[in-house]
Amino acid sequence: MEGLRRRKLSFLPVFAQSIANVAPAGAMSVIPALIFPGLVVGSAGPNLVLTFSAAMAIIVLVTLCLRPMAKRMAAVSGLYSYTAKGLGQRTAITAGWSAIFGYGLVAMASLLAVGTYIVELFVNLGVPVADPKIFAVLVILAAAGAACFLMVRGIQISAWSTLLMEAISIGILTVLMVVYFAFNAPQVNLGCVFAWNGHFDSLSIGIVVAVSAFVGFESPTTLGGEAQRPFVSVPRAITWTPILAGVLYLLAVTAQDVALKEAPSDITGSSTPLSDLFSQSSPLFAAVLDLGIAASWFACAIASVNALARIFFCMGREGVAPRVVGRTHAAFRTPSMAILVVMPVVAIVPVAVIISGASPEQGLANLFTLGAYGYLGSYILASASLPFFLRRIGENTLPSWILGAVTSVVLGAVLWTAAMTSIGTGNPQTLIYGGVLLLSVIYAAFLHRRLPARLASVGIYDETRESDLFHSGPLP
Amino acid sequence: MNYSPTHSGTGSASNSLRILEIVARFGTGTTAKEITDALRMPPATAYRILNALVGAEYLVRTSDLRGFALGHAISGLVTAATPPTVPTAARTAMDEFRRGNRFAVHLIMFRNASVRIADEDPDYPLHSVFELLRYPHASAAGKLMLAELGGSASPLPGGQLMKLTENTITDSDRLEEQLAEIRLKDQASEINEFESGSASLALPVRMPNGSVGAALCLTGPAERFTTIYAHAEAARELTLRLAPLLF
Repeated sequence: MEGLRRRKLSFLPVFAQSIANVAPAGAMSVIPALIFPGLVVGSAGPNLVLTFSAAMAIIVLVTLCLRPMAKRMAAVSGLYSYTAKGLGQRTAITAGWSAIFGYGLVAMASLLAVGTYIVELFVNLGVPVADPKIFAVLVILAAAGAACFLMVRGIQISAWSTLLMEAISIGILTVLMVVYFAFNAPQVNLGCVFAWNGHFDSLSIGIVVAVSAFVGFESPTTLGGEAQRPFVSVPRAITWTPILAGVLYLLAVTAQDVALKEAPSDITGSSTPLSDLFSQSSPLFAAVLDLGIAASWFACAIASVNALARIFFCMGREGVAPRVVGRTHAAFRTPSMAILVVMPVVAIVPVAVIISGASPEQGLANLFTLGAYGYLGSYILASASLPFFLRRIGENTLPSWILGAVTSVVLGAVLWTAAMTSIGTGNPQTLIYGGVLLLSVIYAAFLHRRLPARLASVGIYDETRESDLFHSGPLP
Repeated sequence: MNYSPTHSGTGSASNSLRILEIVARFGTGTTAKEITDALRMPPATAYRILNALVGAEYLVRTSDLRGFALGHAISGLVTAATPPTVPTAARTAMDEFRRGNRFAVHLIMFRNASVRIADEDPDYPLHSVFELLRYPHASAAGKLMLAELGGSASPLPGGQLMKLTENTITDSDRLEEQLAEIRLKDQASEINEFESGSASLALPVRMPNGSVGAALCLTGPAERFTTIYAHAEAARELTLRLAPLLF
């Protein structure tokens, strides 16, 4: 891929990209709480441990589908390129739009979380904030600006800074949880954690939200061109990230289930429940926690837009998005134009949520769930691509057909139930995502009829170059 | 060649090498199917090994992802393992130069950041071949190669520099200084650094692109180094004649 810095990124930044995009620290403090008080499902939330275990199992299935493709193709636009090679260019348009939608919404939610938690940080520190709304908006804009700067400077810098932030926030969170439980150990009743209330509907929408805690693990698949040894580092990163995140979540979820069940209802209903819980005992504790969580979400915003920009950039190069987004920065060799086009859109939505006066927790829940729809959609298409992909390159195997079928059916079932439940509660999420899907299909059909040459160019990836080949000769 | 790669050998190490061999024989674009057919290997095993080899960059996939070709990572193995070939014309030129001189004249080639003996003086054979290949910092030819590789990429043997004699340079700063001097003077020498009582002068043989691909080495007793050095100009003329014959 011309214009990007090729084969320079070592394993750690690649891994950092996926960890940051998953944002385990931020996710484990925000997402279980979204499921718990039943914000998305009504009064009775489903069992957290079960929900997260199921989500993890689903994500592991997706990983198993993506790995063989990541080992064979150095993709620059992730699931979009895999789908193009597997199910074909028209379907790829839908997968690409779906992934962009997912990354975009999670980036928006991340910025909203950064704003919410920084305001909370000042509240916990006892610093008077004149107008929390204006302050939150300023924080979001500043974060968006900083993220933009880091991303345009280069994936190396942004990956390292995200890894650092994520490591710090996971550390803070782990220490605080251990401390909290050391103090409150006698009151803990583990029995309720594993109780099962028998709600299948709430479970499936709970799973969709829990899956959103894992999404982003596949984002290194957009770094195939830039990673040093892409066929090793990308599969490794997408395998270990969900496992690592899953273990952290199950620990955190067990802890929070216990803690929040005992907590007063005003805390469970809050947008920052975990830090409210801590602020009961120590506001300083809570402030540190807020900082960690905010840092994690900031890293997530960067990672999401990094991945989104690369897909968009590829589309620009292929001519199925405006050509201008296919431009790279001459000195930093990053898809700067795509980043600069995307970032304002990503920043404006959380700002609008805050200005509109909607509750941040409702905003977060909606953005995350909606984002999860986007990811799930792209996962379904990419998982279904696996057997076709392998057949097309002459490495057809029976297990790949079984794996691809099982994974896409399971994902489809989860998405379907979630959509049905969501429609039942009158939430427009499904309509919005359905609209995006429909538009992408119409657009693909338009390309197919009017601009078939452009559609045919979809699916570019980092191809083998002369310099990758063996050359005999007396060269030292 | 009566060797057939269908011999029975199991284990992924030997399977990997057999796959590499097939790709090397069949050439760029060899498909997974051709490999499994040729080796009578279960497809799943072949795919697994192929992908591991692609991961390590010993193989690369061609643009349609179906075919394979040898990757750049294999050059380390191939160029280091193959002895350099020296054309007869170059050997004749070497022999002419040797005639009448009472010191050893060797031709040393640089392959993949290592030293390879291309044409050894039949009258004064090398004693310490192992040391010559292994410790480039101690010999004149080796230092010429290190100077050519230059910069931070120089493959100085990790950690300590081995002390072969009292005079071997073991301080990396001093070595760097000397490499800079070698680049400046366009020749390398050592007295008593490689072997006690012997000295060498190494002159570069350049490839068409200007980089140094080989060294012409004049070696003799240390006390006669001035005599050897007196032949430097004649030897340099020989390197100019050798260059188009070798590269």
